[in-house]
Amino acid sequence: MKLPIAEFWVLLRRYLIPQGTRVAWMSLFLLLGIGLQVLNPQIARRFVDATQNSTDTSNLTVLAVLFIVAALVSSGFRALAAYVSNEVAWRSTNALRADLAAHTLNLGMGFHKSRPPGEMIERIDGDVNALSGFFSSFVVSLGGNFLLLFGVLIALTLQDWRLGLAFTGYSILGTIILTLTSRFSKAWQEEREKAAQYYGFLGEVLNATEDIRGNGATAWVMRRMRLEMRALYQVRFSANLKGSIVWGASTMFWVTADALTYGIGASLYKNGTLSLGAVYMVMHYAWMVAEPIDRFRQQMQELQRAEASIARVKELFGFVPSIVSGQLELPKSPNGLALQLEQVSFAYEDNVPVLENINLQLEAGSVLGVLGRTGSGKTTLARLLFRFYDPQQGLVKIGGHDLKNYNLESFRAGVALVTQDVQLFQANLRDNLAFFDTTIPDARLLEALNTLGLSDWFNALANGLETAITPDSLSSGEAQLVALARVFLHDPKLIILDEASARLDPATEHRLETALDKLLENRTAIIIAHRLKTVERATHILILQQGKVLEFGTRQALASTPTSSFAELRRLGLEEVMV
Amino acid sequence: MKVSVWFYFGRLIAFSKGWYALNVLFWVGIYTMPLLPGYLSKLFFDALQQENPTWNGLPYTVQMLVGLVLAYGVLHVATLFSGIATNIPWRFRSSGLLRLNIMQRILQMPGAKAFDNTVGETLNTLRDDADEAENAGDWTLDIIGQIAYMVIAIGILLFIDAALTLYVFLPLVIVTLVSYRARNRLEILQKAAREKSSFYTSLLGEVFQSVQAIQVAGAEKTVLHQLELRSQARQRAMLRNVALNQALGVFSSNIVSLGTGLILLLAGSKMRSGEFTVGEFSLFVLYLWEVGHHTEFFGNFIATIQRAGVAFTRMMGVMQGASSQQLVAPQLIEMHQDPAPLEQVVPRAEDALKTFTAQNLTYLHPESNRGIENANLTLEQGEFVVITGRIGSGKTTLLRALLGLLPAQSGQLFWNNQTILEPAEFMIPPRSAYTPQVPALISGTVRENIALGTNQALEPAIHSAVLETDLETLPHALDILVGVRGLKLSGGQLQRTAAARMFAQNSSLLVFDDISSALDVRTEQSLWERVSSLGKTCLVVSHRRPALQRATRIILLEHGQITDTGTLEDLLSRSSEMQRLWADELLPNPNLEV
Repeated sequence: MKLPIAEFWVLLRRYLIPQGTRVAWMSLFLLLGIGLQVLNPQIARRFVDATQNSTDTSNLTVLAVLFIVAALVSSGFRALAAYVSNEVAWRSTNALRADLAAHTLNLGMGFHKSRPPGEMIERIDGDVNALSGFFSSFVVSLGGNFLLLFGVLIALTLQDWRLGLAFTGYSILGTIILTLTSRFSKAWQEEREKAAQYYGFLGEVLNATEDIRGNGATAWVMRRMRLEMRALYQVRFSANLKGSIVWGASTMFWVTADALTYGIGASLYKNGTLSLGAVYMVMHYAWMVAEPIDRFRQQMQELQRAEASIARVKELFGFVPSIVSGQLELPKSPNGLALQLEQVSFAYEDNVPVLENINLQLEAGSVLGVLGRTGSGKTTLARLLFRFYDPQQGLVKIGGHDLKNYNLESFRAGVALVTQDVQLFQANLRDNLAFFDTTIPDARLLEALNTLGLSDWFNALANGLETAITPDSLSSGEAQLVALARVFLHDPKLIILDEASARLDPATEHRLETALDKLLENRTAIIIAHRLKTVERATHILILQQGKVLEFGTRQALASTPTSSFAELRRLGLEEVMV
Repeated sequence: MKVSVWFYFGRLIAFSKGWYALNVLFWVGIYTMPLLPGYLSKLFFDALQQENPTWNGLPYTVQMLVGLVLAYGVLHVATLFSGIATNIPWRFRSSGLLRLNIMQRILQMPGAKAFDNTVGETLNTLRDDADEAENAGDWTLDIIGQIAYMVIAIGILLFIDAALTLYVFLPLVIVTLVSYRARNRLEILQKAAREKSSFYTSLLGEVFQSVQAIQVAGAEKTVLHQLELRSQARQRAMLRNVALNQALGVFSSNIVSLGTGLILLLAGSKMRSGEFTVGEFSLFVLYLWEVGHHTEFFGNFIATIQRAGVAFTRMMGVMQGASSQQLVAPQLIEMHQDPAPLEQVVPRAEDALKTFTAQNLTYLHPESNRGIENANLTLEQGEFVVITGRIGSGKTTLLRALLGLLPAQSGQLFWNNQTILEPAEFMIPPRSAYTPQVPALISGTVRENIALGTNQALEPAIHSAVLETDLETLPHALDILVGVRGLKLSGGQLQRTAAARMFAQNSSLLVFDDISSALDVRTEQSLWERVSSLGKTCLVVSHRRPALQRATRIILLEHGQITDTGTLEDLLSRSSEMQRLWADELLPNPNLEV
């Protein structure tokens, strides 16, 4: 079996070295435990010889007690080593989980779009769980077992060189055979992928219960679940069967140790080289040779799983954030920032352009209203402005610099984006507003709620900011307002509202407008809407049609040109008023 | 009522009787076969000490023993393969049955309240708790095999030296009792560990559900810190568990050494006198060794069963009040053949809506005590009724209660003047279909997501939903994958796909919850025009002009109460709330320069 040792080492070094002291203690405990383990058959041999030889007057009781004490102390040390190794495993895998979570969280939308949260749980928690055995056992037991094997082979060689030679040969051959049969990690990798897909599907179903029930799709969903289950079963069956080849090989290996002891033991006994006690000791050692090698086998199986997981963890680390941070700090201009788009084109997938050759220029402090039908590219424009994606062609400039030049953290801290899609955590209101940031004082939070006219709502809450937020406790309009309150906690220079008020009823929307007066003061803003009313405060209007600029200009100019689409839209609006 | 874990295991075993029987056969074989090499070692030492060794009068040689050992190996391996090949189906059927039953129950509960916990926690139960149960069920096989081994081994030893056997095995009895006493403590620790674990995974799930929001808020660091805190809490809980397990392990593994020491102590003088041979000594130590390992296993077995008990309790929690029989109710699990094709819904005459009535319908959210109270309304065939009101006035809650997606606390529903007994079961195609405010699609093609299993032509539904132009521009449009939760589609496309899904179900009542929030005016206009031409009864939550103007009747909600009902004109003339909603929606901003 080709073990990707180099890859293991990279992981090991990174996550085990910080725990050097613990690893050292663990090794010491293990060493002591193993030393006593190797010593014990010697005591048994003395004992057997003493019973068989009438001239030997050794005290049998002392030997028996010695045997018991050595065994007790040995297993105590091994238990300590096991505890410490578990601790090391948890600490190192938690560090790995944290790194993975941090890494994937920074990946762009393109990555997360096609991966359900269920799959991410499986990849960050499930795969790493499979690795935890690797972390605890690879170093500790594998090292420990090598030591045990080494100690036993030396003890056998000291007894008789032929024994040493035979069992060394046997160990080498056995290790080769067992590792040869261990090359089935592909099957496990496939199994893990299928499992991730299956649980991803279940997670989606849990998210869609309302849709499923309301449209009577229960039977359809259950049938799909059965299909997913069957696919997983078939992969799992073949992976297990392949894995059991290794198990079979190890059984034959144990058996061979017995056969070897019988053959060599009998002949060395017959020619007087070994005493009966020594033969007994050889048999004892033979099991002790077979045991660590058998443990290797078990670890190989863990490794197969771990290898598959490592491959998937590596794959995850291999995804490079599509958005690369630059150096520049976003300027702290008091009047907002100017915005420029130069021949910007963008497509999510090849050959399906979503935005084509967009040009526009906006001075600092302006408010741009973006109109267009659904699918015209409005939201994509917002995503480019927030740098969720970079355009394939053209430049997006804010404050006179290409977005790519800005330090991403500073850039995003200075730009606020509010979308229709509101995400809340199962946590209290404070954590939902501040995203677990404990440094924001309560007064700021309350002020933000107040500005948005949420005071009455807030005062009705039983536990104030400590009130637990559940999916049922907020209407989607209220959730939208809470999401908006998040923006008021920061001081953005550029604000992008992507249909932020679409879920609000007119009365609430009116309240929001008042709050926006304050928020948009001295800031540049982009307001995306498919309704005219929402863009009333705009100084400029951009109308998109199938990814192209249909119209761009100051609102005044467009409104006063009767042939403009904007003017036509307004007439349509007026017609509705006249009904 | 809490039933014992053995009830569940009993049902799971009964569900896979044949597989389980085969497993028992093979695994008892796998576990008892090692008795043979132990016995062969006795014969080996006997052979060393005797000129012409015999076994029950039959002469044998060491060479014959070597051959027997190797033959035994081959037989053992063959049994092992058979054991694995029958083990996987048994295991898979167990956890598969649990998962199917849990999911079925979830999909039986009111859709907007299908489970109490987060998606992450519920998924955790579906994944880990079902695995835990599968695993513990499988351990019953190991325990049977190990008991078989112990009974035979101890029988042989008793036959050789009864007194010595009793002295040596006494410590084993003690360890079993001690493990049993540690049981409560272990259960508490395990429960705590599981809770911490799901606390962590549920946040992990939420984080990845909210990646965009987190990036927008620049909250990566604080969120990761919160994750880290929960992950450390889990680590502490897990390690407490390990510590107790290891302490128990030391205790039980030392029992073997203690036993061997006891043999040495007690048999020493007998061995000197030749009453007790080295071969018998070897046999005693070997069997004691194996039995000792098995005792260790008993301790773990108890722990595993306890974990399974916690897992079953959590699964029952997700089952929300279903009986424990339901969790293990037998059903067909397809391992090779295709699942049965879906039955097509054939509308009957009485399914068509003539009138739909709600009387005194009340649903208050337990958390906030808000919702709707005493709602009365009637829909007549062909009507286009709009429910409107401010945010938080209870519009969505009213729709959900009408459709059985929330369990009404009081009130009654009537379809064509017949009482609806089970709204959740009844308010589905061919009677009603529904588009929620935030529709969720499921990974797969656009076609699958619209059809939901129906084999009717989808084109009319796609046309009604004004989705045809979106699809025309893309080749093989219906076979495009929608991505996770439909995220590959734009917001408007997602809503219209959900609408098309509703139209494809051929129901007589169509229920829209604020479908227009991601649609532009023109698209919304054509949507309502096309819907009207279908001649179906429509119930629509909206505060937008195109819907309000088309309404045959408007229902006005304020603070969870229906305060007025009537045509747009009526309401505008008499309701100040309606006037405000209407005015806010329509009046141009005073700053607007024309």
